[in-house]
Amino acid sequence: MSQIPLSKYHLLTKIGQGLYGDVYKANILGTDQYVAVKKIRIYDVSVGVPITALRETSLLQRIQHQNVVKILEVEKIHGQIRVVMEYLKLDLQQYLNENKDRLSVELLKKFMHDILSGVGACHRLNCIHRDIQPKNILIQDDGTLKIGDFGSARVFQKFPQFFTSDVCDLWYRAPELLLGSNYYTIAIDMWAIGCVFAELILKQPLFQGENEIHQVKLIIPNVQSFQTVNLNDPNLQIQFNGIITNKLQNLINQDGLDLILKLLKLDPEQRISCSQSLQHSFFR
Amino acid sequence: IKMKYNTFFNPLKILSNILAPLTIAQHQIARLPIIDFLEQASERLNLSTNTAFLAITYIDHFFNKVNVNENQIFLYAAAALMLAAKAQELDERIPFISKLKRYSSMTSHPEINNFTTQEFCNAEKALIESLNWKLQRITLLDRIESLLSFGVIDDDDSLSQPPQQ
Repeated sequence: MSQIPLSKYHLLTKIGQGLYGDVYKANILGTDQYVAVKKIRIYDVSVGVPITALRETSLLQRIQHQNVVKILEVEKIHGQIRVVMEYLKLDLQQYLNENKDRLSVELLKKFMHDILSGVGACHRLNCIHRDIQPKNILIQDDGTLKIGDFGSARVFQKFPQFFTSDVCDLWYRAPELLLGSNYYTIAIDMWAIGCVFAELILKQPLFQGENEIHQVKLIIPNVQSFQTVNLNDPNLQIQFNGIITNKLQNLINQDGLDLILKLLKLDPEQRISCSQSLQHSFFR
Repeated sequence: IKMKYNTFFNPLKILSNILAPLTIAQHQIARLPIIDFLEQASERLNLSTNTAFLAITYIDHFFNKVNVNENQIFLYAAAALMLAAKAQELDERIPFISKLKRYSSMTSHPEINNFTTQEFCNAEKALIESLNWKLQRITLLDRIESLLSFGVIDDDDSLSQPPQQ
């Protein structure tokens, strides 16, 4: 038996709890560089390595992009698996809570550009993130945004493909998911990005439903029955555009509002994609 | 040979893969019984053919890199099947170790039931490590499916004519 390998990292404080284990701030021994270390806890021996950990790690290794959080290595210490990632101390949710001032248009453009580029990189590899929300968007010291937490993400082969509909944080969940569809596409990420965009402007979440039914009613106020909702009904879209326009009209320029309305299309087929969004006149 | 058009992959390479020797070169392990076993087990567990192919890809890779005890070959094969399911099946379809043990021993390899849960766990970890966590791999079946999804339109096809006014 060779010598038991010792960790290259010294764990400092616990900074969070992921889906499959605790996350620690750590520093690389002998340096003052910080990293984030996720300890993968095997809760149930009969499950083996947790699925979320497998998905996050295998996807992040493929996606190498400046707007996606980087995985540095996977370490095995005494049979325990540790995923080492770059350390970013702030997320977008904290940022919005701490900065009460309105964001300038320039900053909005930069943030949205980063988010769309990061999510776009993941869509190009046939991967749906499925949990876009401010908490999962991290901010680097120089202001660059990076998409993190790929624990819910998964790869699709053809789409629409059958998946579980119980994904995404409620406030950022697309209408087709709220209506219980199991066939969905990367368009669910685009809806969530639209919600984040509106939140950057409003400085508070766009739709804060208390439960799924309430969430649907915030999006489609006079919904009669969930079974009969037809998301590609143009009247429904016009009414919905009215709600959004009312909320945001005086806070953002015309181009920005237009982009939000294109991201927040009720019908997933009409929703704009990341690459199309990046071509939008808002960014010019 | 130089081909006229660029393709996403090289058909010659695929052909040579198909004609690969029936033993895994490095350690002289016969592939066919493993493939048979993976096919039977994935059928028992109601997993898709893509998942079985992915498991074969993992196992080929693993046995070429790592030397395992001969009586543990099918333990690793079963663990590879679970891993492939975790990588691409719907959550509710993924067999965990107890189910995996029960169903994969209903094949021509009942001895699989004798391995402990911990042994399955260790086998899974060893596989993940040797694959370097890269679980998304393109299998032969994926290639065939993408070829089948291509279409050919001839010059005189009605589809290639401009729509008539």
